[in-house]
Amino acid sequence: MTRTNTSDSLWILPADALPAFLSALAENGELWVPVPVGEGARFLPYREGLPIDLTQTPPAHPAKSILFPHSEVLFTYHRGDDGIPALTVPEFDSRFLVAFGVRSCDLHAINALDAIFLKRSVPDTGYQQRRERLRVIGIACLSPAATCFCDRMGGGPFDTTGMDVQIVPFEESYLFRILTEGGNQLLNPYLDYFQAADEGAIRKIAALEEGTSLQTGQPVDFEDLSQAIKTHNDDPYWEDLANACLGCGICTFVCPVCSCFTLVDEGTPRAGRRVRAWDACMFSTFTKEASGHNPRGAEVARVKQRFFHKFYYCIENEEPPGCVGCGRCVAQCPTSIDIREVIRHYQREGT
Amino acid sequence: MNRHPFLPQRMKIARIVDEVATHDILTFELVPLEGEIASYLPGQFAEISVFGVGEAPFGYASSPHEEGLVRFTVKRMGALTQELHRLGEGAVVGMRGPLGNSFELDRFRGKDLIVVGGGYAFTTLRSLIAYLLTPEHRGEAGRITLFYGVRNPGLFLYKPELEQWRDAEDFSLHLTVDAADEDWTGPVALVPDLVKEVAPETTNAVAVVCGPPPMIRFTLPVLEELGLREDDIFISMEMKMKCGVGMCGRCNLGPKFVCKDGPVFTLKELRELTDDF
Ligand SMILES: Cc1cc2nc3c(=O)[nH]c(=O)nc-3n(C[C@H](O)[C@H](O)[C@H](O)COP(=O)(O)OP(=O)(O)OC[C@H]3O[C@@H](n4cnc5c(N)ncnc54)[C@H](O)[C@@H]3O)c2cc1C
Ligand code: FES
Repeated sequence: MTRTNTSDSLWILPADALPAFLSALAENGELWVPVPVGEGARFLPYREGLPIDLTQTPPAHPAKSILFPHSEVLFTYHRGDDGIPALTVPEFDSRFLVAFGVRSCDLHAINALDAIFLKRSVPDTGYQQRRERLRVIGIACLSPAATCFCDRMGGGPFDTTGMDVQIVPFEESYLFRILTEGGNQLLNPYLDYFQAADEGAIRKIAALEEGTSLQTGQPVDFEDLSQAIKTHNDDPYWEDLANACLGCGICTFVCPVCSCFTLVDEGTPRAGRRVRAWDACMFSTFTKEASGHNPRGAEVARVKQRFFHKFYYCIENEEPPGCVGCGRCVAQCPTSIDIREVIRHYQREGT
Repeated sequence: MNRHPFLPQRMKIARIVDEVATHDILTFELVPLEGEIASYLPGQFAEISVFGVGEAPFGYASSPHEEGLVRFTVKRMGALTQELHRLGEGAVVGMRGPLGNSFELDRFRGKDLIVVGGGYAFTTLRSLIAYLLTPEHRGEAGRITLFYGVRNPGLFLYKPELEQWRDAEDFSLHLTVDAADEDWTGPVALVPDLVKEVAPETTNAVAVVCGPPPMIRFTLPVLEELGLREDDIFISMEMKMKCGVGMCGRCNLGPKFVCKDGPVFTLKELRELTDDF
């Protein structure tokens, strides 16, 4: 956890100046902000007048959609009179891409997404260009939810991993803490909207940080957890979980790390597009082959796939763990399957 | 235009061969409409696109020494394969490949090779054998013993070539069927039983197995009884795929991906990955 110190570049933005600042920022790039939708909030491209919710901790929808859109056109095809399909890849935006109001959990998840989309085999070009353009104005979590457990998974309410700028809401304003050169370049043109933070403000924020704690348990020892899960392949515990599971896939869609996808063609033989869309390992059709054979046809095989992937396969492959402790799946599972219980079940005694 | 790993190369269907009596297996010979054919090795696969329908993976049935073209042998199954079968010569499809590992040719060097294939999964075995039988590569492996079984004689793929192989040096061919017709003079036996009966010499051998799961399951114990070690038995695996590059999360066996770390695994590796072997 980083502590506020006076060597950081600290700026104060009055809350009522936020829309003007965001509008100015959005003129020069792509800006994503948490927007209230239903009872939750999701990250959407900013436009003037859009309501912003910086209180949901965390927003119900994960920030992964900024880098890994729910659906993405990979290329379009169009057949001319000669019948030969011409393929066109959409142009990429070259301006910066700012993720505003993203929390520590979702930023730790980006490490895991990088492992999949950039390092596992060939780099995924769409993801890569968004990742390179990404600047993060993250937000500290002053009131973590009862389901949050990022403190056990490497994060924390004031953790700044992955942030170029961290904002801390206080009184009727926001403190902006510039953490990287990228953050400096991003905010520099807009400093007119800000006031330099004075000693009094800095003391108040230090007190806020001091007073915000999340202590849900010891940090998880992933090597241990991985070994424990690996050696409990036939544990009846998995059957218990499978009996509770509806197979609805919500846990995967709200997970900031889950990134299974499918590729589908939309269109006619003459013209259309190939789209990559979110998919889920919790669906039985996910692995069903043309012959009818299905290696993960049983619910229990799918439930195991989810937890084995997150806590054993990732570790075995030296990738970041597949869980960052955001607690979204805990909060949103209709049958209350709780990933914290799975961790507890396989953690060695005393940890 | 940005090249990305999901953008296929456009390929023209130069020739279609109707392989079997049931007409549901066709071999497509593809030539590039643009660019070169990326170099590949026997055992690798490619994702073939029919634009508007999607993509599906097929093992290269051609051998790298056959320059300027690639060949895939496709059984009609579901959506994509049915559409592919409707296309004629001259039609344009997409290809992403090569993907996956290949047969570990270095491990075959100086060894006798026992090849066991069944059904239409024979495609990549054809690539392997055609490759090893070319004069420049023939020295890479010792004696080759091929077992190839299908349900009935009408279902053998690559019949003219099988006939040519009969005369190849240091090569023995064992074709078998589950059920004979009037013309069939060869053995009527399941592949594992034939392997057991022929009992090829295994002291300096490796084996490659590719076929329907039951054939694989019953052949493996026979090969082990004959004296092959579990890391000298290579098996080509199949699992539903989409991305082919280890990203979409679909084809993993434990921590390994069939598309990226396979499709060829040793029996030893498979035993560490799943309970099925
Ligand atoms: C490494 C590898 C090599 C293969 N080589 C050959 C070959 O040489 N010849 C041949 O005829 N078949 C081969 N197959 C099987 C072939 O991929 C399937 O028969 C084909 O995907 C069925 O597609 P479909 O659209 O007709 O069926 P549908 O049931 O409509 O399938 C829809 C989609 O699901 C995926 N899918 C479904 N079944 C499979 C499957 N068994 N394997 C992989 N993806 C699947 C494909 O993306 C397919 O387009 C191979 C499979 C793999 C994994
Ligand atoms: S096909 Fe996508 S991970 Fe293997």
